[in-house]
Amino acid sequence: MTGAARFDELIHPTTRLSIVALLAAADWAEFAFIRDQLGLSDSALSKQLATLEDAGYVMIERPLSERRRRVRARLTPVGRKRFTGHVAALRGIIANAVPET
Amino acid sequence: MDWAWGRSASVLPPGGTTTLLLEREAQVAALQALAEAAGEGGGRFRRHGGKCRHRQDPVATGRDPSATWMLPTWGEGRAARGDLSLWRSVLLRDLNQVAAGVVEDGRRHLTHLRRLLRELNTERREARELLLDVVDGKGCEGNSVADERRLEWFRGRVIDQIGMPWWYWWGLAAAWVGLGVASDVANPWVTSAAMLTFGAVHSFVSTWVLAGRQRTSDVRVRAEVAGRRAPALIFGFLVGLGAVTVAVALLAYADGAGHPATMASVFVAVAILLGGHRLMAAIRTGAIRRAAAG
Repeated sequence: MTGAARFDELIHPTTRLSIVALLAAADWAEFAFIRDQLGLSDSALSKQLATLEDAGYVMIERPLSERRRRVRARLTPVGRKRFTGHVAALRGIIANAVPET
Repeated sequence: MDWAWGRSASVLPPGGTTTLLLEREAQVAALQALAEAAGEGGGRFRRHGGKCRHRQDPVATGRDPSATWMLPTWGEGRAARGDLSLWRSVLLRDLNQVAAGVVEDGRRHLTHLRRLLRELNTERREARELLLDVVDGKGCEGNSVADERRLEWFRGRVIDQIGMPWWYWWGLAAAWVGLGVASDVANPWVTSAAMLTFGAVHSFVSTWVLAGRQRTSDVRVRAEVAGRRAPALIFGFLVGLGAVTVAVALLAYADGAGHPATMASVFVAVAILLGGHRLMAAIRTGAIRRAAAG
């Protein structure tokens, strides 16, 4: 991963960081998959995804399916770039940590 | 520990530690008051639990209070110390998360709070508790480590999804046996047509399963996470099985077996069922190693 280290306050909260981390490793993920992995309720996940979508970090897709309604989320290039910068910032903090004596 | 309760937060004892238990509508005003007090070197908020709890108060110990302030989200690491305006904005942002049930409270405790907020009827249980901390460098580093572990854990959850659909290996094994039987008992033209059909069907299927990135319809793993070599490995595995089939069939034929192709195909079908999953496990292991290496 490349990109400038930049702490992203929108991504940083635990739930959103988890969502973005999950999506960063995938092309796309089903709503149910994210919900199950994070152990969230539908409404809580929906709110977080809406926040990320409003910020342009996540794209929500609703592909047609004969059997059931499907909702997929995928990270946008902007979201991926911000996530990369955020991870770099986290690693920078860890790298700069002064060990206790 | 001092407590402020109700719709205002005017209690800001210098040098003390304040935990707020406020109605939601009072939180914004309270935060602003707290931030202003912080700018005057007043009260210090500390983590409710966690490593920072037992640290000495900076005012009481004569240290410069401004040096101890740090953003809860650490805008730029240690450089963010004392940036009060940014800190205030972060706190206000945190308020917006209360309704969503994702209050940041230090992450190492109070998981029950998150669980409650996540349940139905959150309005009734909407956060009445807001724990404000001035997090020192140690807490910042600890959270960063936890964040990075969280990233690795969720990447691992996606890597676990690398694999083939359950039906792929079974279908491949069945087709292999079918082709072997056809080679032994059917007309050569029929056998050739069957092989061409098998090749065409497998090519069609492999366009979306051969990379092992979509074992289920729940998620598709990114190519760089699954590894660029995964399709080549699987393709090589299939080519190798073809070679083994021919070799075993020739050996069986030389030994005088009645149906050498059938024997060879059954042998290879078993290898497919046993080896396919092992191959995918090896690909997953490689992906985990690459992720760990960064």
